[in-house]
Amino acid sequence: MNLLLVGLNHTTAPVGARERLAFPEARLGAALQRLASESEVAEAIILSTCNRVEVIVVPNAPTAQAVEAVTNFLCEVHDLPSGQVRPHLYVHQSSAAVRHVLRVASSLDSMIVGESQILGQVKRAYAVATAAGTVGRHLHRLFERAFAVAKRVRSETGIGAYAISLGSVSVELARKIFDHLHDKALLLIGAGEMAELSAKCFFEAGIESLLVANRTLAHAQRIADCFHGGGRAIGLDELPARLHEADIVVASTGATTCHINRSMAQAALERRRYRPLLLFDLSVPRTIAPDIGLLDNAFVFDLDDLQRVIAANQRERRREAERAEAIVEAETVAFLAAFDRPDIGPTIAALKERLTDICAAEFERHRKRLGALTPEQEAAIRDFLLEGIVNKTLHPLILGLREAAQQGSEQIDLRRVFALDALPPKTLTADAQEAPAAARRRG
Amino acid sequence: MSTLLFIAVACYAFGAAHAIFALWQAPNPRWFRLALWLMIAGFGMHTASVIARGWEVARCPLISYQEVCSFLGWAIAGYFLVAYAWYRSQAFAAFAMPMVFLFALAAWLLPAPNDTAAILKFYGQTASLLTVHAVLFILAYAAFAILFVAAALYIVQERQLKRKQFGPLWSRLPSLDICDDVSAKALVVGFALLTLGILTGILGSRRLNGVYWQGDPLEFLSLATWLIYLCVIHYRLTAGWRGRRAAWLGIVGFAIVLASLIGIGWLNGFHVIG
Repeated sequence: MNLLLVGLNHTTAPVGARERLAFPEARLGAALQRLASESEVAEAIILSTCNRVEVIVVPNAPTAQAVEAVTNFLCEVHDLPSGQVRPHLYVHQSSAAVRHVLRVASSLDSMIVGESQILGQVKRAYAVATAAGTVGRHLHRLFERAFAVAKRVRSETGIGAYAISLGSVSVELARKIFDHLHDKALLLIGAGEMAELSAKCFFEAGIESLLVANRTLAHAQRIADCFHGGGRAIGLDELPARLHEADIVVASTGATTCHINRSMAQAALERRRYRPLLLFDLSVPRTIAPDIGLLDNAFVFDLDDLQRVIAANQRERRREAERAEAIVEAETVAFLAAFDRPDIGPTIAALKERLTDICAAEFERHRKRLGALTPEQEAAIRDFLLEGIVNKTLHPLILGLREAAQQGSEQIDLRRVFALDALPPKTLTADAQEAPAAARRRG
Repeated sequence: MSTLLFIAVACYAFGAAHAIFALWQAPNPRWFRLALWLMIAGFGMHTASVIARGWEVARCPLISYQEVCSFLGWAIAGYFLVAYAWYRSQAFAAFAMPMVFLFALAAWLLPAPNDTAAILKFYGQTASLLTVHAVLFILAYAAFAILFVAAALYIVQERQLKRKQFGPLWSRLPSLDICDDVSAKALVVGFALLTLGILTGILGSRRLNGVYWQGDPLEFLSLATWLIYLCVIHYRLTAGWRGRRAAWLGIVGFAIVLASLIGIGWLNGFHVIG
């Protein structure tokens, strides 16, 4: 496949260079049209995110010339001297470019491998280019494939399944204990930024009930109001009396004293009839007594514990990324093999349309000879008889075309495809067998 | 029957292998789908083999050790499929399927009973009542097997959470809540069936020998099983016991269940089996 990719990403260019070369979405359409107007470029898509700017083109000219055209375009459109652009650029062509596009869409080339935003960004870039009219048959097939591969990677590997931020790891641990979170209650101790971030993660995970405990009630109320207005604010002195209402506790305060000690937790567990209680202590020094973890059905995690989980999950992600690479490699090979075959889809569609039109026209022409027909009979002729004839005629042709396409040709052997030299097809055979039998009966 | 059972055993073996692989390489929807279909096919074949056996001998096929193993494996497979339909937990399959496979394999390897007529003659008029007794017991045991799997998964994960050391399977196992829920449901089903089984046993014993209690070792084991699971239910309801303690008791209970199962063959008392 004749494909060219010129671009830069977080590994080849510092953020300063990336931001100078980025395309704001509003200007993307115009830039694409300008690029496509170059004689060296047949089709083009520009992928511009905070970590990468990549120009993917189907060139109309020899590679070196096309690379030059794209590089000049990048310099001119951003009004930069080529010395500031060229050192950061990488160039992939043909199979390497296909592989790169599939890897990017599958989030294997991302700064945080497995992050899910990139697929949306690639889809957006494709949509913008389609709207600008710079996507043709080649890029269309490549990107459709890339979306399918990204989906496959996501469903068949755990690349995005392992949480690697404090908030998402907390949610993961909570799900490990409670399974679903929508009917659980979250208690935040402290009203700082950390507390707010955790609350956000838990709300995204489905938690609907929130208690915020803070020394200053007004700050607590501010956070409580942020979340559907469903939160309630309480003072720290109310903690012992309200602890049992919470299933999940997140503490992140700057306090130097312990907010929850073992006897408080014990009392809360008893009032909860030993339903599990999960506590996250994100404060340093710790404000939840670590020995609460010794109680039955109480689970305590401090910052170090969470960091350990993150490290383990990162290892898992790397392992999954290796599996994903294998999938991408196989898909690249399969795509290239399929691409080199002629695309028979449009031919088949056109052929079917033509045959259907002929049938419909002939039916109209001879309609009068058929005499009076009920609507059901007429529908049966159209839907079953004519459609059947079209499909039966098309079927061997499709098979023949497909077979020919696999051998890289568009010629089909009609005598073989319709088995003209072999025995008559089944329907005829049945009639043929019928005829002598009838003759015998008559005789 | 043995051909059908053999196909079932083969399906279970491949199903279990696929389920384990799917868990190890999770997420692996293709392998798991294959495992599930193999399990369903195995269950279908197994059902056919139980029916065929019953047809062949014109009685409930639950009088020999081989038949008990087969029926137990079949019941666990049935419970598992119901549990899967309910919870959609793939990890569970990797633990339940091997157990089903082992029981089905045991049934296939064990020799067919020689003389069941003598046993039927021994039980005489009470044979049908005691058949109900046996069916109830096996169904209860199968429920306790499911409870055992759920309890073991609970304990492993609870320990990991407490020690904050997460093994390789960590992210693929069902949540503590689900494990606890499965155990609770299996407990209720198993306990109800076991109670009915014991009652029918007592009734059968009374009809056969005129006594309610024969003093057979199996009777003591069954009573111990019943008491242990009663304890679990009692503490769950009153003291809010759940999780680890309930899970450990469930495991102890299943150990006695296994002892009873082995005992059917060895402790030759009142319970005669082919």
